Amino acid sequence: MNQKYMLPLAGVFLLFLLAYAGVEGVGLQWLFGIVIPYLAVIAFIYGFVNRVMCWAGSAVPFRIPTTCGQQKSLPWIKQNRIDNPDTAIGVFIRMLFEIFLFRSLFRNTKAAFNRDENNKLTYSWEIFLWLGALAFHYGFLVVILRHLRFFLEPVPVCLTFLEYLDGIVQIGLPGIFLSGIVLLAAALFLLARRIFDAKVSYISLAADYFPLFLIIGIAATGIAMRYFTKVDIVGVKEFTMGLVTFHPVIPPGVGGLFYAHVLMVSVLFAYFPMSKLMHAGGIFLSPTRNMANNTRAKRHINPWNYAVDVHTYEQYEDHFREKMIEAGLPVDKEE
Amino acid sequence: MSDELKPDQLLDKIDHTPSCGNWMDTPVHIRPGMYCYAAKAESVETLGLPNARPWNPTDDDWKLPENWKEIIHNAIKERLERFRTFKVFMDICVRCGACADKCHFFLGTGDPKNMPVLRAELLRSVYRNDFTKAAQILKMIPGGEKLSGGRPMTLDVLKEWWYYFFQCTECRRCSVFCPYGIDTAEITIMAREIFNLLGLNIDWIATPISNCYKTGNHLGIQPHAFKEMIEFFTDDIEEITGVNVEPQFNKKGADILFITPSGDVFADPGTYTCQGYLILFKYLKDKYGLDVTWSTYASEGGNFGFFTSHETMKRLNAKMYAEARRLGVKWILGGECGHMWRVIHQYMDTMNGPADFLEEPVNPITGTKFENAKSTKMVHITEFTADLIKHGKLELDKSRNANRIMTYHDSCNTSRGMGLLDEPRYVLQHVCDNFFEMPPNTIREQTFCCGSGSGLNAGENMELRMAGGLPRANAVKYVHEKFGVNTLGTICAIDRAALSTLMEYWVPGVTVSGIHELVGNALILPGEKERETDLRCDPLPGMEEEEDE
Amino acid sequence: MDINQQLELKKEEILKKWFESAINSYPEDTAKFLKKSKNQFDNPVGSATLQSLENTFRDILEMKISKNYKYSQDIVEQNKIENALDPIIRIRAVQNFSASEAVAFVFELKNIVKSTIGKLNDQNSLEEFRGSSSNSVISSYELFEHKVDLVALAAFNRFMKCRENIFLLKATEAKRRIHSAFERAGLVTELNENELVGSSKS
Repeated sequence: MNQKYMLPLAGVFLLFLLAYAGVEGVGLQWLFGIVIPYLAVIAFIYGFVNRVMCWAGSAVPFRIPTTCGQQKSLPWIKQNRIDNPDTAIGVFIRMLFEIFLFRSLFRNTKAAFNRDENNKLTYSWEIFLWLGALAFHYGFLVVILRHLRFFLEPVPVCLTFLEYLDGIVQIGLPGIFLSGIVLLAAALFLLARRIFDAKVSYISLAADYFPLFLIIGIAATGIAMRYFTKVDIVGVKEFTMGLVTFHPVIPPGVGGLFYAHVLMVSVLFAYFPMSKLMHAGGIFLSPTRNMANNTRAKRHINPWNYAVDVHTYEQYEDHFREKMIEAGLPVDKEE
Repeated sequence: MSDELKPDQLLDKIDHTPSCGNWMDTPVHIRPGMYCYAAKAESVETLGLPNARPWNPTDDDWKLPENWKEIIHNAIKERLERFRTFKVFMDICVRCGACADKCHFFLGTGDPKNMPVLRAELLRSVYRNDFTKAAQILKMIPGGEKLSGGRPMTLDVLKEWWYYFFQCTECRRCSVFCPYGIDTAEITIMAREIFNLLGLNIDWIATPISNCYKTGNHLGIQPHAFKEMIEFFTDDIEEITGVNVEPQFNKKGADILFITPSGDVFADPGTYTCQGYLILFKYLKDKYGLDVTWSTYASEGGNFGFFTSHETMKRLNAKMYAEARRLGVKWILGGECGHMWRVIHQYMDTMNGPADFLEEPVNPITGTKFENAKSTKMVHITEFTADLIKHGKLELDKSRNANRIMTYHDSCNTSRGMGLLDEPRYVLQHVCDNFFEMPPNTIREQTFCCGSGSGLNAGENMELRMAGGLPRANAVKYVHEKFGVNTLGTICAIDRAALSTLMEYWVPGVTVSGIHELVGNALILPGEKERETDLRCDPLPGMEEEEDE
Repeated sequence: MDINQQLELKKEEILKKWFESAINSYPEDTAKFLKKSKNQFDNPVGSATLQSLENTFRDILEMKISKNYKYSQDIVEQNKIENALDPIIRIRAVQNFSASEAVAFVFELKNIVKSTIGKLNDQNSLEEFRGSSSNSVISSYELFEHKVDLVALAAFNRFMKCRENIFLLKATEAKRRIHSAFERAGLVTELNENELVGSSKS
């Protein structure tokens, strides 16, 4: 067994047990329900802001976008305005594509579909990375948005509408929310890819497995509460409203499973800013994507551009004057 | 039951797995043929770079300064502040693996540490150990060190860095596919800056920069020799065309200063491209009175300083603007070169500008304003020539290139660091009839590197270069077999040298040629005699029989 | 059924195993990748290896062998097979392999054929296969072994040629760097080491 994923897996189990036993056995609802969530949110906000400020504090000395299409040059040559933008609008669209459609990751797959010598359609797994990543992130987004209903009173109409769409496939009672299932499935796929694709497994670290297990744990406990153990929704809402209004209460009748869910979410929050999950913020600051390719048209300023020693023409001519004169090259000083 | 294993089982018993699943536990083995020789002490001294001494990468003792770990730690710290790219790229990689099979060195050598993500992890692992909170927290838990994915700096780690960061050509192909735009070139650049603080450069980079600093070009051609060299081409051209192209040097008050990599002046087949420039300038002078000058002081377009450190790059690049100012030209025209154009396009104005002593570049013949170059004031020769052709200002005889069945190799720097894709193709298609593209996943922004860029085109690392160039050669081979392609066009001096060798090994029968060599062949000079040969002194199409008669 | 027919019958299985054994000489993570993608341009090593093995195998079947298995008399066949082997050997000659590692995949073919054809003969062990009453099987198996030996010799030849090619390139490239006219002009001699060092000191 591979220690790189066994340890994170054990860690997530431990978290689950800790909260479950702590609540069911020792009655530490206040710790797992109030103290840790508040601390986690503080850690998240502080950490996130801190990290972004830290990045933003570093200089951007050069304008070095990765150009993925024709530059703007002569008026009759068609520029690729999105993949090689020279204006802020172009950059904005390029970033939108990157952030919402994972355009670069998609590029991965363009060449993956091909006909081989026998005219058989061949494809590589990579399109599934793009699909899996999209499913994962959008599933997660909808789940988070849906959860806002626990923190808002009254629940805004747009949230109700989102819930309606999410639950459009009506199976059983309570109705199935697609987003949760998609999130769990996509996370499991990404995990399987990490474990079974030798190339990816080789580059993976414990820090890559841990958040995946954590998210799988969160999704699984959430789904369990909604469909199987049927958690007391009124009690939960009372609890969450208490948290956001800073009048925390511990409702009766909400069990250990819920606190396990909350603890895992809290750990995810606290862990977020010091981990690779910060790619969520980092993508906005990535200089190869968020800069326009117009360096030759508009001078970019380097804040630490210090003077350097150069070999001047005078030194050069002093050194080679005789030879230059002999060769008939013009010189500035005749001797 | 027999104890003997059946052949099938025997096969299964062979263990092909690396010693352990963890790459950090696989020690580096510096293999001959894959690395470049160490920098000579004299070359390191010329630029006053630290720790100049003789050393050998295969020795156990690299003769490092005593406090080398501290130097590295401080260097990383300083660069994290100076470069947002570096800091962000250290933090946000999720190791999704999208880049893994995009690197020509991984595809060619099959060494997993050549996957871009892993190349970056070599440095990231030390960064995590030294600079991140997560690692510091995890270190407090027993056994937690392993979980953080960090590792302390050791001599073996340094050797691993050196071996693999000199197996990256900074081509940026991985960056195209990364969902966050992580550019391994940036990380390689930082690693190489650090090597230079410890005196760990390779000679193929250190000696050219030392030459360039003193004499103005990488080979160390002195001014009189540079002039003689070009005059030699003048003689060759006169033999072929009957016209003396009269190049000018260091001429004050010329319209345009022309700078090209010195490779074009001394290395075949770049020399033929150089003759192409000379023919073009003569044509423009005679027809339109355009005054172009060469410089012996700024006689190098290329900049191996870029492969050393940002500071060295700036020191070498400074000559371009200095010379343009001294000569009082209107603007600068740049020849065919890859990394030279990356430096000009993305760095020069920022480092050594503003070039307020120059005029915003306008093509005096067509009146076209080069809007995209109005601040840096330097125009790429294919932009310039494409503009001339578009306006019908050049008289071209395509039939002189009729024996060339062409394909075009985008060089990494001009495609992914600039986006110069259609200009050279436009020129090519107007000087030559037979043009076939290589498959789409091997050209334009997805082009494969020649395998010898970023100062790695030495002789001693030939195996590395041939392996790294395999994906490129493989695509050339495809069009060679399918369409009978016999000439590989390119706009990079390193390509011209490196691809020639690459073709000799993988695809014999394909020659490498600069775009302006073909322009030189096709361009009809006023008053020229009937040409019988091309610039390589090979008979022109249709002239072969006459020789027989 | 003679061995050629048997090989023909089991061609796909043999080729698959042969390809895998060749690819497994790479580090595990690399090997998985090389097996996976069939695209000629995204995975040049994997596809060239496969193509080359297929051609070699085809040539093995078509080989015309001298009566008494004289290596010296089969030189023509050996040369033919060299061409089929070229892509795979040319690649392995620049990769991280010793000479023996680079050509070892040829010998793997013997084991692979033994195991697959052995099964085909409905006798599950090599011993039985060898001890089969049918003399024609034995002699034709010897014929096959002789063919593989020829492939191995050809592989060794080609490997040496590629390595010689590499060293030749190292030598000639250095020459090409100095334009021929450069020498004619007598400029090269002026650029000796002393002068360069001297200029950097002043």
